[in-house]
Amino acid sequence: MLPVRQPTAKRTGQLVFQFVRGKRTKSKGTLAPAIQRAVTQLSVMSAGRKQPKMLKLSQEDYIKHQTIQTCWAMYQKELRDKRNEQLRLQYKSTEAAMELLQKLDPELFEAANASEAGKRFPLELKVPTEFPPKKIWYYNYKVKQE
Amino acid sequence: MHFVRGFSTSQGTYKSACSLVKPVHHLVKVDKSKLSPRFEGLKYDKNDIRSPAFRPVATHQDRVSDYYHDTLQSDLLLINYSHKAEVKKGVKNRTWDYSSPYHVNRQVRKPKGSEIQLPDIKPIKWHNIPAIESVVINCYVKEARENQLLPISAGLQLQQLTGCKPRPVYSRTDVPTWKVRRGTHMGAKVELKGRPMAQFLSTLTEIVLPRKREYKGISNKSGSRFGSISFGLTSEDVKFFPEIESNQDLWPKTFGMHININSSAQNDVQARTLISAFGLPFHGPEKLR
Amino acid sequence: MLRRTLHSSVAKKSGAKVWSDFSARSAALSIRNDRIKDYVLNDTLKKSPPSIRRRANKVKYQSPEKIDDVFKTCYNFMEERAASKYAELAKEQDPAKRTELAVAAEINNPEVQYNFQFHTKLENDPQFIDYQLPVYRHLGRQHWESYGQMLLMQRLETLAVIPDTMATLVPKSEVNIKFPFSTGLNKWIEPGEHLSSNVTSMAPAVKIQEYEDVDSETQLYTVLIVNPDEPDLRSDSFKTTLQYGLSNLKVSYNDNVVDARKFTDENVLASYLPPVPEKNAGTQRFAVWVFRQKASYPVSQTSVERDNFDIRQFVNDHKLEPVGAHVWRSEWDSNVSNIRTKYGLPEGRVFHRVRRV
Repeated sequence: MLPVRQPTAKRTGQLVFQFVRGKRTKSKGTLAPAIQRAVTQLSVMSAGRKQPKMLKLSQEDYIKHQTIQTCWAMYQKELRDKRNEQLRLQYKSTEAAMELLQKLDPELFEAANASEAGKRFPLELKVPTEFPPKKIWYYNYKVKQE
Repeated sequence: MHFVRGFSTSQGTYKSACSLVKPVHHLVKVDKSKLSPRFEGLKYDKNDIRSPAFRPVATHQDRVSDYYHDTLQSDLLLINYSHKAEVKKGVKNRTWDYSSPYHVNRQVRKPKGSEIQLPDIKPIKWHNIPAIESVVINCYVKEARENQLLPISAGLQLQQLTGCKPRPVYSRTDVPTWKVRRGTHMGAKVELKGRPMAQFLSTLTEIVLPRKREYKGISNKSGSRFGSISFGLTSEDVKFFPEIESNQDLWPKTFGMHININSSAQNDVQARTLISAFGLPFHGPEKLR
Repeated sequence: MLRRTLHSSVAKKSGAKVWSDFSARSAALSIRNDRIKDYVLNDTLKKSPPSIRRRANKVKYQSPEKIDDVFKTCYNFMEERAASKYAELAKEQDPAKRTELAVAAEINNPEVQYNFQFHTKLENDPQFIDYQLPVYRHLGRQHWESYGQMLLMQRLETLAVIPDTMATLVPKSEVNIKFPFSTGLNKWIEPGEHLSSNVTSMAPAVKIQEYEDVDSETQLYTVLIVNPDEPDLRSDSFKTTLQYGLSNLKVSYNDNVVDARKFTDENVLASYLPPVPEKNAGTQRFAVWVFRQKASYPVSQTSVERDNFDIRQFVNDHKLEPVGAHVWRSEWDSNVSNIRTKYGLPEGRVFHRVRRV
């Protein structure tokens, strides 16, 4: 006789939809432990089980979602354009300043136009975080004197 | 040729001696996959939430890219500025002068002083400021030729460190001296872009590298000449990643890996300047060529 | 920084509520159903979406978290951008650019997107999808190009309609055909479909949907249906027959189905001759061609020969511009003889593998 399935949803007045995976029927212990380990590792990597359920949006919510997406894309584009414009202006004014400097003081111009190959940003320069650590890593860091 | 469709006879012109590609009489591009009535869901773009392949991308702030755009870009523009710089032509293949009839169909000559053609170096302006494009992590396990279970572990390690799905790496050729056969599963690699890349870079520079003993930095000799810098981590260094460190007993064996940082810089000098801004130190004498 | 403040001040001056003020805008730019409109534009809290009907699904359904707050921010952001587009539109004189701006100002409006995506586009109700408005024409065109146009061109090419009748087609307007319901097939025909002789026994209605800016008051259209597969035994080949010809037709953006109610005898170049393929003559293609006319030409002074009809010559003579096409296929079936008697046509030939004298 087939075993009777226990209802998985709680009966507490309201309907509760809960997905419960059935019991494993295959026995686990037949493989050698090293191979079993590799099988587990492969299953961790494979996407099969970890795929989340597909989102099903209602028509109205889909339109809302679409609006948000287009808005985000538009905002990013504006940001990008603004940044590029800023950089273009920076380049243009650098160019103008160097042009002027070349006329006023050729020596200073040479110094300003020297190649900066091999330049490094200082190691103290950090990617900013919203929550910097209380104790900075190199708290007694000193620049090496060479 | 006069071509008539015959009603009761088949014409000789229908019988071609070679396969003909039928001409197209219009300019509309037809995407056959969109015309198929099957698999409606697969016709959506990948960034459409109705598509089964949809993955949310902008789920959190990308502080590394913000830092690059807000702080580094303008500095890099200034550092790489050279007044009235012009395009520096890279060496190209040389053609023959056709003084001899045998020059026709002869292979072109290699460039002077180089085995390959080199790209032109364009002056850095506002639209081509160097940026990190991708990070490729490559994990090649030498012992895999004896134990085929090791590359699986190596792949899993990469996935744990990066959160992205790695691809297996197979040996390409037979190398008898190393006892490698072609097609053997030898390791894994993963290409990181965008947010996973930022995450990996900050873990690397803020947690892992500072804990290495006597770490001097990436060698200045490293680089592909065309703007990508690579360095390696030993299997001991990998243990400093918090993902591995927090459950060490699960990782009896860790694997060293190669990290390639691909940037849009046109040469290694520019690339090193760029990469140093992300907290990766360099050591050794600067190599300018 | 400077640019940004300038930009938003322009938008504010022109009035940011461009999408919600319906004093000067068409009602088709708004969602008709109040409940849906309220759900889309206002809170979804403690409400289930009106588009979900079944109770069980309603109970199960959950909107994504915080979607309302984000949506509101995004809506305001895009409305501001739309306002600046409307401000530009007010100054613009060039008609092509005006259309472009009118599209850009409304294309991101969620109400417009809702109306377009969830209502029928082919038999459009101008309450929801009003093709008079440039934005709906733009969306309609995109929708057509994403499927209908590609399907049509593929079928025209594989059935060799394009080199056999006209040389090529640059599709500009969507053409659909439908046969009267009394013939039993009440649907829009897919290009290249096989139709029985009963279905095609009466003249089809042709829907000409324009997506470009045309002056619908003056623009005239010609519709020709030709059969390039009529067997011609004398030359052991085929000849083209004109099955149906209409000219000097007027259509508008929304009311564009050309059927018997839309034209008089003055428009009929050649009355409808139903497909009556002869037995064993194979499958015959019936190509529907729609042309824009440069000028009107009176039917009474136009002589057309049904038999041996040269469509390319006709098009050249009357300076017609092909803008759309359609095709269906017919074959001999047992009902053909009934159609022949109904239209008073002679009995058809029967072809055999061996010619019989």
